Amino acid sequence: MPDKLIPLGKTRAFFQSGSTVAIGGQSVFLNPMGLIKELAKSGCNSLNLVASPVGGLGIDLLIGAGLVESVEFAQISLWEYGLAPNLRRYAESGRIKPREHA
Amino acid sequence: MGLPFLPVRGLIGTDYLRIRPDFQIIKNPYGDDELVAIPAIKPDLLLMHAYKADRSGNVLTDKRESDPLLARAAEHVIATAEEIVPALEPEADKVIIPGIYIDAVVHLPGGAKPTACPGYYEIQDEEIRRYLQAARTPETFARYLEEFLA
Repeated sequence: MPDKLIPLGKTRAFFQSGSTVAIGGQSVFLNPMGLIKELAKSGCNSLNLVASPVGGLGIDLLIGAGLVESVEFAQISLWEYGLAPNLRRYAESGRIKPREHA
Repeated sequence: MGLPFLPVRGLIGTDYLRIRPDFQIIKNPYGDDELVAIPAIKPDLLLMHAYKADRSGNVLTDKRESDPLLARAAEHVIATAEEIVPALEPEADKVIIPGIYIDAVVHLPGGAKPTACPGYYEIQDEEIRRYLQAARTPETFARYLEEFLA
């Protein structure tokens, strides 16, 4: 079997502007925040995100960083902490395209 | 499954078709009724955080998450994991995503913080509250991001 273990810095080879990126976990559980930080630092933008289907902190952060063009989701919230503030701001002002499955 | 769409009943007559113009009404080929065709979601990449992984790319995650489904739908998958183990064993209430679906694993303890990784750490309450406070305005959130990405 091939060795699939790579250092975090090597993940950037997978990132591409305009690509469709699914984000695992939900609301405030098991979001891949380390990878989200790498993605945000990579300079890739116009991302089309897919929630799992309940998105949370990671998706809200990428939206707030201005890197997202659209997001496909059933729900994006921060669980007991309330609504996702950046999603709301960007969707209401038409800066992202929400693709709902509510 | 590799299917281009799934037929769904029950959306016709709702506002769904107004907010999702890509959802198409189709005729049931076996009857007179109509259904809605929901296009398949095909991510180029899945980013996920797991409990454990091995070097062959098998990863252990929570059975309550949809990550196993997304891993099969996505073209490529990167998983960070709290632990890298020699060979992954099944565990109660957890599921293994086979390595054939995973392109790369990264050893990244704390890789879900400030969100929770059940069994390893809880929600980082103070940090989530700081995020929400910062996200109240674009200006304060920009400063938060600068710090997060540093």
